[in-house]
Amino acid sequence: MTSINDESLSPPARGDTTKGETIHWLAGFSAALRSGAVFILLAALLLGFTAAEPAFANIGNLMSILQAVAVVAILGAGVTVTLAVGGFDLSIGAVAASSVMAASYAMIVWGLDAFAAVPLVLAFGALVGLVNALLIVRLKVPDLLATLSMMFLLSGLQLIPTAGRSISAGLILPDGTTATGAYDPAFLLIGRASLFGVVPVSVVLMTIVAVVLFVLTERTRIGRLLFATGGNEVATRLAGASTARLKVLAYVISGTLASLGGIVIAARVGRGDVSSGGSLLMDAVAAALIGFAVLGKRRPNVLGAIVGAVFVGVLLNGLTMLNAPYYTQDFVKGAVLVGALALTYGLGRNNSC
Amino acid sequence: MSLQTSPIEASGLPRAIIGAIVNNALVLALIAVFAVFSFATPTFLTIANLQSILVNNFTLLAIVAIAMTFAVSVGGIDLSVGTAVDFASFAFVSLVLAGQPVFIAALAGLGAGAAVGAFNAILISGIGISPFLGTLGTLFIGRSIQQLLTNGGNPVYLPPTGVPEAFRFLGRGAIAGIPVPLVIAAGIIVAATIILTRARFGRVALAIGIQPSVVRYSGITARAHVAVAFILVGLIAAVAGLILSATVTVYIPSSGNAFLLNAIGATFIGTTLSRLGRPNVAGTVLGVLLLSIVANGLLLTGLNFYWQQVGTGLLIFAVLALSFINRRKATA
Repeated sequence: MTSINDESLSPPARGDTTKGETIHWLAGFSAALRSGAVFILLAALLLGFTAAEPAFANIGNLMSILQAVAVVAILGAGVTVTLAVGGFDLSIGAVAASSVMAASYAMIVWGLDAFAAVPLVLAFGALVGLVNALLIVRLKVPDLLATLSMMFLLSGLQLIPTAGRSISAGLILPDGTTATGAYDPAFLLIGRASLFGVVPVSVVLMTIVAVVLFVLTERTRIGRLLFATGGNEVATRLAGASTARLKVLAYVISGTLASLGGIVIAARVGRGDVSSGGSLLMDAVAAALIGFAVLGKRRPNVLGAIVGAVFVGVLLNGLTMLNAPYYTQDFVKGAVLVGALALTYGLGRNNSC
Repeated sequence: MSLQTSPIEASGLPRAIIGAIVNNALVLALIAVFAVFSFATPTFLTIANLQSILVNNFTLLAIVAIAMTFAVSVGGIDLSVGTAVDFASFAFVSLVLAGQPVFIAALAGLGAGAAVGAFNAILISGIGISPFLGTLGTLFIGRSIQQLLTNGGNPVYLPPTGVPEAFRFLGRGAIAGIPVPLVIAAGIIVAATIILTRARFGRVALAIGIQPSVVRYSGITARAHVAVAFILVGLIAAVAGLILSATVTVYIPSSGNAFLLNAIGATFIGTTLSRLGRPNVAGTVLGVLLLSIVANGLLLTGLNFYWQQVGTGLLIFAVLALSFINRRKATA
């Protein structure tokens, strides 16, 4: 985890407190500027796209942008929590993908309804998170390695119950029988219904996740301890906090949110597609990392991850409307990521050297 | 992380045996996996199959994993090794298709891979972005550039007839009965071992991976060494790209990313299970061998392809569990 733990490069206002006053002012000012920069950029993008294509600004399109980024934002918020404790959850993409399969399997093969399937899938995600955490905390396996092997494991395991086939109604099981269940209409509402006909349910879910995690990480004692664990685990433990439990909490949150993302995908698509979740990991990680730069925090933060996901979503949607080929999307994601990182680390360096 | 100091003379035979086991966990795991597959399938332990493991499973992954080992040595990671593989492959195949001599095309391919490494070096050493994040950006951008170059991801085929002889030789030729790709891989393994263990550069690189500030305070330009390491990663990965395209006579956009996770897995297996807990070429090569044997063996047992992934995951878990016993013993 040396790869991401770049405390040496970006210490937030480290150093002597005697001349701290003025430095704080300056730091505060430049931070405000930097946090504002993202929103100014976002506003400029919105205006630019609207000028170029008036249909961009209608509420339906704006909501469809949010709906498109909801899953990535939810996963990105989960990764952010594991980044906060100095870890990294590489298994979220696989958890989301296998949650799509699990939800479909539960309803189509076992014939469960939405009210049984959703808790079941969320529990599955939490369990995966718990196993990750136990590997990391108990067996002292490095975070990247533990979650990487979990990723391998899940992406193989999810294919076994159906022998590699996608799950839709009338699926023929490996033993030759035909599945009798179907997607519960109530379940599909998660992905397809809109509140008051305007706000999609997935966007509501994203908002709830954002608010709850924001309060948890930025406003509570647990949140401060999470960041303290990431900053200096030994010191935090010596200060009397159970860093092991905090890490378990972080990975369980990340796993559960990943399975929530999977539920949203399943409800939107309406079938258990074996190839779903392909680029989710990279997109969510990118959102979380862009979040470093957002709000000038230079550390993982939940709101930043959400804003990062929305920022990329606006850019992609606008470019699509302007008829840019679909394969410029990755280029845009990469460029935004590198730009955000250069902003975070490049400017941060001046303070630390 | 110096693990066992001296568990052997501590108390008697049982402890000595445990010590021997944990010290050679990787070799023992290899032997165990080998034995299991030899019994489980009749075709595993045949010369033809063992050769196929080395040529089809081992060679390319070993080269990419050694590239990764350099990135991990300086305390980083390179998520864009696949991008370097692809860029090299694209430049190589396009130039051969355009009628350029194979030698020139190969040089251009190596240059393309090194360019990817240089871009990473600028991001990491120049701007100061952490390796994980910088190379993630390179991965995204690289994937998109390939799609732009190929009109959305169309493969570039070489005609089956009229492929230059030297091109064919690189992919399918043999020197003294040994396939050329294997010879090249062996050469890279030896060279990488020498660089990392015998050369000054290697010592500095490993020191940066352990404690960068100490290296800086010693008056060594850590940044320059990191930059060179990442350019080396691109260059070595490019070799894999050349061999890959010479073997299959086609360039498929973004196909190199298939190596990424296995390369990381092999490198970390090698690192975790080595006595010093540092990245090392021998450990990486054993890790690659382990992953290759498991992939091949599971295929031969007639199980579905997805069991390979489960097998890889379980394997890494098992290896890690062994290393955990190892660490317990050390701290107890």
